[in-house]
Amino acid sequence: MALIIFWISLTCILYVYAGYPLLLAAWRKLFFRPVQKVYQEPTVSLVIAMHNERQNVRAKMQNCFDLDYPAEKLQIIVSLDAPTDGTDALMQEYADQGVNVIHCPVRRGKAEALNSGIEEARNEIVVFGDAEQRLEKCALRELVANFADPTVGAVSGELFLMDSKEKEATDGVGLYWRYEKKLRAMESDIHSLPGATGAIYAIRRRLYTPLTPGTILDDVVTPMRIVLTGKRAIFDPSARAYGHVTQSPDNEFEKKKRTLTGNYQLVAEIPELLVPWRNPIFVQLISHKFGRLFVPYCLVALFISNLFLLDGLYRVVMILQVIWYMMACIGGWLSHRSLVRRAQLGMARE
Amino acid sequence: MAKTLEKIILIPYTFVLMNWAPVAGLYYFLRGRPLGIWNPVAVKHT
Repeated sequence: MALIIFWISLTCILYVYAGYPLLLAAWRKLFFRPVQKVYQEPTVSLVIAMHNERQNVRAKMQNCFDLDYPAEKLQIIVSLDAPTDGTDALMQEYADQGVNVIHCPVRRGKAEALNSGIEEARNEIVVFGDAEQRLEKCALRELVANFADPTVGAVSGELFLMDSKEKEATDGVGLYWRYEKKLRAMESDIHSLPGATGAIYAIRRRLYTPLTPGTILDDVVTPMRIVLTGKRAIFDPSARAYGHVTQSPDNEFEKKKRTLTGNYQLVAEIPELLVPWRNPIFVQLISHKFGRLFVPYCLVALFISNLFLLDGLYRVVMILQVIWYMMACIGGWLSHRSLVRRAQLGMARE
Repeated sequence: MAKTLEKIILIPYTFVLMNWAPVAGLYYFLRGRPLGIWNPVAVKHT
């Protein structure tokens, strides 16, 4: 019994982290679907939902004004979700400069703020962005060029996570994000990626379905709904946004926890995603998004089953697992120590 | 050298945390999250 559990668990883990990327690489070689990108200037609505973004407002708005796109073809919409830090007062200045500001004094959540933003949008292409991340000057141009291909319904740009030295992060979180982007690129080349990057993605407005109140992953739900209509949701790494990597794995954990709660919500909200003949990227969704939900249980099963198998090869696997988890414990201790140091430094500065 | 070692040590920790997140996520999902309040009347256009 332990032997069966051991091998099933190991196979699942290896498939999710190594087998699936290899499968994608082979799949892409056989069934590569290029996108017919043509540079053009359709009218675009840029929608940004904000809650308490006082610190980011000025930089974000300047970033929007600096975009290399004709101002007469770009509508900027900022949907405020009951800010309490004065974001609304700051945005008032920009309302006078032609930015559409939607202000809701009652807290409704990001999903409904986006719904309000889309209601205000009047252009055929809608681009979504976050307050915190900066778009590269040519990002809009690169994104919308993909819509020349009639099979494309949504386009995700690439988010670069930068470290404190303004270089692309190479720590644990940075590496994880790079791996994630490689998967997305391959999935996009085959058909579609199961979810976009919230910091930079665009859709055809007519394909938008209003988000259910409380939706956590708008950037997954919206592209997946579009994929279910038969259109593609692709990844274009030439449309770039820049953000900062979270300060520690613990902060990333908080983000990830939210994202994964959103994955369960996704299935509850769009159950047809689990129907192989309805969902054109069923294999990708199961392998990429849902496979990750099962890996923790496989890791536990692998460890426990390995306790009953301690001969030859199994002994080596056990030793490797013990070393790995010991390193994780040391890493956890180091991470918390640096967090405490940072907090102490912050207090000393105050 | 110490920095590089620290980065390497943080990889297993990040892996464990990233794998703990789905378990925590399931807990939050099953517990139920409060839904956003929809109040279109309160929306003010500028």
